[in-house]
Amino acid sequence: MMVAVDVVAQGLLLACPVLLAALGELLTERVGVLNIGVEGTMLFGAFAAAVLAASSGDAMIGLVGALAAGVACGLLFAGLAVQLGADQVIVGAALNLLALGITGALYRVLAVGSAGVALLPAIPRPSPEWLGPTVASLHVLVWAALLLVAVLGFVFARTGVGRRLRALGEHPQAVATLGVSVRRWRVAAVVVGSALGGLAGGTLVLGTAGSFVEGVTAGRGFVALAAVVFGRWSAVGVLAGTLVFGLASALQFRLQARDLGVAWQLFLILPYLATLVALLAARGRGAAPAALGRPYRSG
Amino acid sequence: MAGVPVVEAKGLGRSFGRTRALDAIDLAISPGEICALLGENGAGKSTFGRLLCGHLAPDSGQFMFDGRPMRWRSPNEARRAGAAMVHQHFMLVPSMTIAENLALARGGLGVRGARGLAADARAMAAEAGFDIGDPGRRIDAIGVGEQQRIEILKALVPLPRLLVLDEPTAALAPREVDVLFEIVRGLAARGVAVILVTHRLTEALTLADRVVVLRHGRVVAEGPRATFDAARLARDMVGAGPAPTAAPLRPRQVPGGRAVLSVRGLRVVDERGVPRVAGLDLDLPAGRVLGIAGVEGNGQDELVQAIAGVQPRRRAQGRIEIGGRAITDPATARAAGLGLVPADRQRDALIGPLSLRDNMMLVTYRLAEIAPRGWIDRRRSTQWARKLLAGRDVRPPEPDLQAAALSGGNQQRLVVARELDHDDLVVLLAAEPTRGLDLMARWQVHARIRELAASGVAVLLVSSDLEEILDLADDLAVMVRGRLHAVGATTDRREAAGRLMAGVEMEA
Repeated sequence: MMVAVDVVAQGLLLACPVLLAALGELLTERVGVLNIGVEGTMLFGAFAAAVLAASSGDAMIGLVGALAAGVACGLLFAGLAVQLGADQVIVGAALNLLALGITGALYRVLAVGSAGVALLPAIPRPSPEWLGPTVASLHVLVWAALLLVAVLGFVFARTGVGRRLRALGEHPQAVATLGVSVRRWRVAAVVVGSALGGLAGGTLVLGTAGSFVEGVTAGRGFVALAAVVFGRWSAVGVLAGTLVFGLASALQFRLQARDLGVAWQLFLILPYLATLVALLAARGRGAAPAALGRPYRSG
Repeated sequence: MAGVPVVEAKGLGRSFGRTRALDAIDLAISPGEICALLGENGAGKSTFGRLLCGHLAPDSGQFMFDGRPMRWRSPNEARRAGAAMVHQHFMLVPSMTIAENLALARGGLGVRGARGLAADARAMAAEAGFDIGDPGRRIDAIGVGEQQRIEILKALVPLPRLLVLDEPTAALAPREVDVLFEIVRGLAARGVAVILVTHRLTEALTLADRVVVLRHGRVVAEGPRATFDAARLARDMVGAGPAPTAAPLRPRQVPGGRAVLSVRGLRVVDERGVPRVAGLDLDLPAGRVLGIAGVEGNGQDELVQAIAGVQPRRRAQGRIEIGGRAITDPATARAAGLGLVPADRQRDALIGPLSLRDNMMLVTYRLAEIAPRGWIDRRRSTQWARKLLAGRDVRPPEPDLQAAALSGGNQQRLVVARELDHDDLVVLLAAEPTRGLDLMARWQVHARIRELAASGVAVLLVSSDLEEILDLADDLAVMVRGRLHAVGATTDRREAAGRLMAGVEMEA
């Protein structure tokens, strides 16, 4: 029993960065914009968090830096892909490459990360004693991400803002005929979504990894993209999708520790394999926003 | 209907690029008046409606709204002042419920649950005097007529001073049209000025108090409904000009042999499931030209697409044969010797970003000429393309130029060169083959069609230009609501065709 609780808690901890990024992407895709630059956004966020947290010694300052990096990525992406109507896939791919190059180069120049950074604090004991120390040690953002699942789900389902956001992704012309600026709303959604992506990168460094290395995100941005599809563009579904990844990650650590006489590297594949299998099992674009990926041109 | 007009346009105009869509329109509409704005596609009638409702800004002239000069900055501002528009293409989100779509239109951003939204929707419907049934149903689960009522309802709360309906019956079944007309009459009785944008003569004659005919962005006829009849409206719309004197029926010997094109029991429905071609039979012998007239949108496009094998099979039923070979897809149609000039060249005939040469090579039956060794020979294909382009006077005849860079008329010449100027045609399907061409080019295309017919090609000519059809066709039929009505050779064909186009001789 205790083991199961521990695995779930660990899974949540490992899923947290992916969940944050996926929720950001969910918001972005819901308004009809496909941002495959999540990986790059996370990488920028992770780098900013590592630099600022290491130099200030304060994890919270690192998080603010991650958030700002995410906003910057969002503005760049939205400027090109929404305002100028450039191809969203190409801009997203460019963002990924840009992030790899820039963070990789600066990492060497600044030599960050070799020294550890301050980790995020755990919430002081919000969880009952019997759940054990792993649950109690979960940091703030794990709980924040779970809360965000509920908030986003509520906004989409029951508020006028959510209705308008969904309509932007389904039938932007209909929203435009109501006198609402499609572009302005989409830019806003993309920037908020990217801010979450940056935050996700920061969480990765400050919450679990403890340091920055080149390519620290290791494809988690793409896992986030997959989780949105797996979750059929709903907040709860996205949570389920990221949990598959998180639980598989937690499990592989345990399997590695068991020393089963198999090359340990094989276990590292497990989370990605699990994500892939889950995605294939849940395939179908039935719930995708109708205007996803299509730039809006007025006139 | 005295007093201040709700809206009064003075010299209102708007261009798109080099095209003058609307040119100096003067028009006033009084409260409670239903004004039909009639014209062909591209006559500028939708543009006029969009100007009045803030979806477009005029680039010349002005209009008064309730006696004051106005210039909308957005559709929202126009809506608040009382100018509402119901779009031809429904602006409803299919995956949302009726209640959600109405809430979206009202614009509230706060928290409201499904039950609250449903109550709001019912209140809105009650205020407008509509019955909307269960507002919890999704838009994609209700019929077109109902969708349109929701679309209209969006425009009615609060009650506008001016309501522009853009082709409101385009997707409706006849019974639904009746319901719509009742709604419109009710609104007029409550003092709403209604502009009905349409290309259907019968609608204008049934519903409107006043009829305004637009052609090429100008008002060509205007007056109370009583002063128009269907024949005159048809003439005004298509611009047939003076009574027929020249070019009577050519007394040509046409072979009446076996049909090379045969269509049996063709039915086509559109993506919404509305029938567009309603059980059609057709036999066309070699060397004969069948002209199909009709107001656009009566199923001509779908008929042409079906014969070309382009209609998805789940939407088209029936049997089509060319020279005895069944047509199931575009490849079999081409292999059987079909030449195709589609009505919408930009969408269906050309690939804008590709070069003129590549566009010419899209149709592959001349491979032997341009690819003698099995791969495309660049020099040969360029020469070949240049020769054909020059032959149709495409300007400039540069094979490496992008097709999108050509003007509309030159694009049409390219399509004509590709589809008409070779010798292995069996059936030519020409829809609006001279659209956008000047008189000389038009005359040349007509000459080529005659030549093809004389050499034994069966020609199906679809045109909204009655003059063109009277000029070229051996047999004449009019397409009305998905059915072909033959026009006998003995009657005055122009008169008969005009009446049929107007739907006058249709049984209900």
